[in-house]
Amino acid sequence: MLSFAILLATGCDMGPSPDTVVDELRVLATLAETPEALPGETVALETLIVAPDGASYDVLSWSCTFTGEGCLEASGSTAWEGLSVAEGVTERWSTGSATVPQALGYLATEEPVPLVQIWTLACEPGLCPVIDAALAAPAAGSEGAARLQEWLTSPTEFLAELPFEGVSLGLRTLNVSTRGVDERATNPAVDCAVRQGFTSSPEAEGVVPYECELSGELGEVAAAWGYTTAGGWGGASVPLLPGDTAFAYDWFAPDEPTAVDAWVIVTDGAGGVGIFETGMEVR
Amino acid sequence: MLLVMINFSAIAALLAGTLASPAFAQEAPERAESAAEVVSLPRLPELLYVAPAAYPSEALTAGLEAVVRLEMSVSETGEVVFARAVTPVGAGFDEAAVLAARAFRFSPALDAAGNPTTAVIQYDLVFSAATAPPLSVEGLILEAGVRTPLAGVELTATAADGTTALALTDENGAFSFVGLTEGGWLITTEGASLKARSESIEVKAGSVVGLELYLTRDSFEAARAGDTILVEESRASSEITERKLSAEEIQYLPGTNGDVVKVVQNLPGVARPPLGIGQLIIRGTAPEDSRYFLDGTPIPLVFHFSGLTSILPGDAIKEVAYLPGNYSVRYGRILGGLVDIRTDPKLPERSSGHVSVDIYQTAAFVEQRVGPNTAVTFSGRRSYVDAVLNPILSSSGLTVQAPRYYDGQIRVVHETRSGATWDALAFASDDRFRFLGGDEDEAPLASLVDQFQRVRVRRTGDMGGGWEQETSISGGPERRFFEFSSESEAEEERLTVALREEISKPITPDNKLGLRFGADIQGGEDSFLFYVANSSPREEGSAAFLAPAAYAEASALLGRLTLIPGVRGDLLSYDTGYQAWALDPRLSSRLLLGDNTTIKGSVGRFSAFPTLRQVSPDGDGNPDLTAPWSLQASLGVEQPIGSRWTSEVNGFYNELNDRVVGREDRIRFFTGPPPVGPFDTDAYANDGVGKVYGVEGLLRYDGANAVGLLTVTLSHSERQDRPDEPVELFAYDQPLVLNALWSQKLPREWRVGARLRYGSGNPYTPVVNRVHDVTSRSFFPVYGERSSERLPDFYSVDIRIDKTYTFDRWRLETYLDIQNATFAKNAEVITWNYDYSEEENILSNPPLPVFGFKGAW
Repeated sequence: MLSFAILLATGCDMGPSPDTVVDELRVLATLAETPEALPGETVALETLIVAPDGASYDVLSWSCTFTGEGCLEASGSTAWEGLSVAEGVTERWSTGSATVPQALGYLATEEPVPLVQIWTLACEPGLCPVIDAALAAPAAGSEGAARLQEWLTSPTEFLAELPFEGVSLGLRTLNVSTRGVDERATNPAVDCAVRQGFTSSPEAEGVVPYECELSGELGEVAAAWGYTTAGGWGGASVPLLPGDTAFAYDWFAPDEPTAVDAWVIVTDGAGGVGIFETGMEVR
Repeated sequence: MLLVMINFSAIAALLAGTLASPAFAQEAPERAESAAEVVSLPRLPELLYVAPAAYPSEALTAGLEAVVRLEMSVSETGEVVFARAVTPVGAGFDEAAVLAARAFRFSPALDAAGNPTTAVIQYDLVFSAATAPPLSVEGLILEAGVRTPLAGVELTATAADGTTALALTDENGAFSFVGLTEGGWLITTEGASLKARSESIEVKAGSVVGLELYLTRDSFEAARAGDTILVEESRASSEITERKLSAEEIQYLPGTNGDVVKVVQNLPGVARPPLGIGQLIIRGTAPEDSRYFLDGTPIPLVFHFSGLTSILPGDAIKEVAYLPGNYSVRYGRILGGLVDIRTDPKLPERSSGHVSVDIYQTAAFVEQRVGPNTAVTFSGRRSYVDAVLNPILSSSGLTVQAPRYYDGQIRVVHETRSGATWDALAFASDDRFRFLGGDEDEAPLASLVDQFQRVRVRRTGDMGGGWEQETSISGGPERRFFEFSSESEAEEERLTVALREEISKPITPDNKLGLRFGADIQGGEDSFLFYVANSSPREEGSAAFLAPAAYAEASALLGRLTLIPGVRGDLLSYDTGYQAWALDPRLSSRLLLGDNTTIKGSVGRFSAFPTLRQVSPDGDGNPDLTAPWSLQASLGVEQPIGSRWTSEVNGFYNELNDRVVGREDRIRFFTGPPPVGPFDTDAYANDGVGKVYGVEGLLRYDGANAVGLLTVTLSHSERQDRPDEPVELFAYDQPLVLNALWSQKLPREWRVGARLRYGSGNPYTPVVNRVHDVTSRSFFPVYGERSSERLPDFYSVDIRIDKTYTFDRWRLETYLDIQNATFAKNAEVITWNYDYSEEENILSNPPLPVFGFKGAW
């Protein structure tokens, strides 16, 4: 009981949080053009993937509308509807899209429901057989297509066979409703600026305090968190409350001069995501 | 006035014999087997000094008189080395005569060459009321520090001229000297395992010297003559396998802080719970499959804060019975083992008490005789662990508020004229703690409440004809509550009334068939609440329940074989309409081989019932669940080795059937560390099975000044939750558990002890990868094969040092108990960092020296 008590008593430390440092290949965020869509609607996607030192990676994105027997996307004329795959990617932002199956029309209501899963798998080149299988573009009904469908329907099963390092599988959901454009949820917007009197080119181990402005409606479980390629943000996350329009977030420079990229991601707790991206030069 | 009539008669009975030593011998000297060794001596022993013989008080009051013919062996130095009454006359005259004769002094017999030689003579000692010697000294011999009367202590009164007189204490520790001449006498004591003591007195004519002496014990053996407290039953009923440890031994065992109940940790078949929490993991069964009992009635809580100290003071406990399996039909509704804490139904011999202070708590215990047939006990303790934890835990705005516990007991014991005993006990226990944020006005981050109250009235007595009866009625509420972040919460409440009625006739030398019949009825109301925010729907419900049970058992002594068949029937009924029943036949046997080798074997069926939450229609319960049951078998041998060593080896097998599985909780609020691995969230069903098998061994040393214990358990425990799922290791499967401890008494009332514990780490399910939920910055683990990895082996060394200061009327005990003295960093519970890229294990507690004082009287 003493150890349990000590565990519970671990406090918050407002110095640089090591959890905010991205030092391995990782899918950080997937931004949907709109977090809520109608059946049959296609939504543009932008996914932020960071690899150490700009190394190249393979990426596979797909959506799954799970019905209990499988994903609706696997029952079309191709091996998998809306599948997106690329190899040797070096850019941090990859684009794609997800189409809400028309068949959900009988399920959709005014109330948004997270019915569509959007998966993004990033792997070091040649590490993931599922990406190789997707690159092979098997024809619908083929053995290759069946294997690919099995993998994409149960991603955690193939993930269990993949190595821990060099693989990142990201997941978000897309809400489905029958609401019109004016009534649907939108993504919050976040824009951060260095507090007056400070510079975005700090010295090593210096601090860059950011003041971030928000726009958009926040839910009960809204939050903001940061990622950086070096140094660290102060605190793994910043809780946000409905009605918040701004928050402060400190960034801590590493102990050596280097160029650093950093991001602040805000979620409204209802699927909406906003991303702020910046770069700093540590002197 | 002569004290006694001296009559040298039957001189022809002179014999020459070989004497072992000139000191007094308790046994008769060897007699010559042939008449050829009978010789005549030119000079017989001449009586020089006749020690006064104390007239037995009851005989004197009754006006009885007697002549005791003594046979004495007189040594070459004229001392009496042996004396006996040739024809006992009773009424205490024989003992008084023998005791006085041992102090007689003779001039030795001479052989034909004129050399001193041994001789055996007869002598008539006359007890005449008119000439009874006056009382010179009377007193008591008591044990120092505890004031317990010491029986059988021999006192020697020695005058300046060397003449002596002897006295012996009776069962009340009382002694007396009669007919001592005026002047100075030195009184010295001699008793088995007692330190000798001397006192000088001055005898004056017409007055009686009063004397009260306190003696200290000098070995464990002496203490073992006192309370026997620990009993390990491999099979209950009329004959049991006893693991006896005296109260003194248990108190000083390292690693248990002197807690009587914790000593069970060292016994074979007991696995080690993580983080030292007080769960019972017996022979590979789950903690919820085993139970603690108080005098045969289950109790909800035994340890404060799941492992710190037990809720009952050790002074109130007569026996701690450890039953790992195949126990009597007296116990039911569990699949695993049990520990039955038994209070003493008899009156205490004397008033006593203590006050103790250590790093965790202050405790007080007072036991007071009220009249000849009644005793009242008050006890309680209050923790201040919050004052100890706060400085450690307070950081970055988090504070611990009042993690504290207390318990209290009031007991009244009364013996009736018919010999029956009434025993009323009221006890309560309360554990609470809360974690707050920086603002004390905010709702707590986490809070835990664990409390219960009980009142129990029990009557034990003889029914005549060899039958004994025990009736017990108890009842009270219990509540366990856990809250986290004002969102997740769990609560279990129960109000129980229990009636236990049992009549039994034990096996005796005259009765080869023992019988036991009993009823064990429980009723009351259960309620539960379970909710984990954002994870599961809220479950709550309540129901009244009735759980009657009846059992019958026979014990048949067939020469060297004892057979104990029994049967128990249980029923559980909730007012929701749920009902389940179970019938458990059991058979145990013991076979005595040779003089002291015992083979024992048992087989039987053991049943339990689902919980209300598992069958309630208010939540996700399944009202079609039946009673889980297990088939247990064991076979073992007990073998003493010499007079100091005990050994035992047991093989055991436990087959678990119809286990209730499903709706697995992500947070186990009350049963230990959180589970790790994929959760079975399907509906409740009797789909689970399991198997446990192993062998356990015990080697024990009981020395005069040392106790040693070595226990080893080798076992395998597996489960299969659903028919289509693979067999996997039990969460607490520990193939090897080893305990070795030694406690040594040193001079000047020092004691030192050490315990080594070594065991396998628990299995766990590894995380082989993870999924990043990019809209909540959380990661979901992807697990590998269940229970396919194992934590590193566990080891720890505990040390204890005691120093006692014994005064005549009280004693002060001080101790230092250091658990995990070598600071072994054992991984107890495996956790991960936020993205599962690193393991962050919860380690075993760092060395925690517990320093304590106890003043007892």
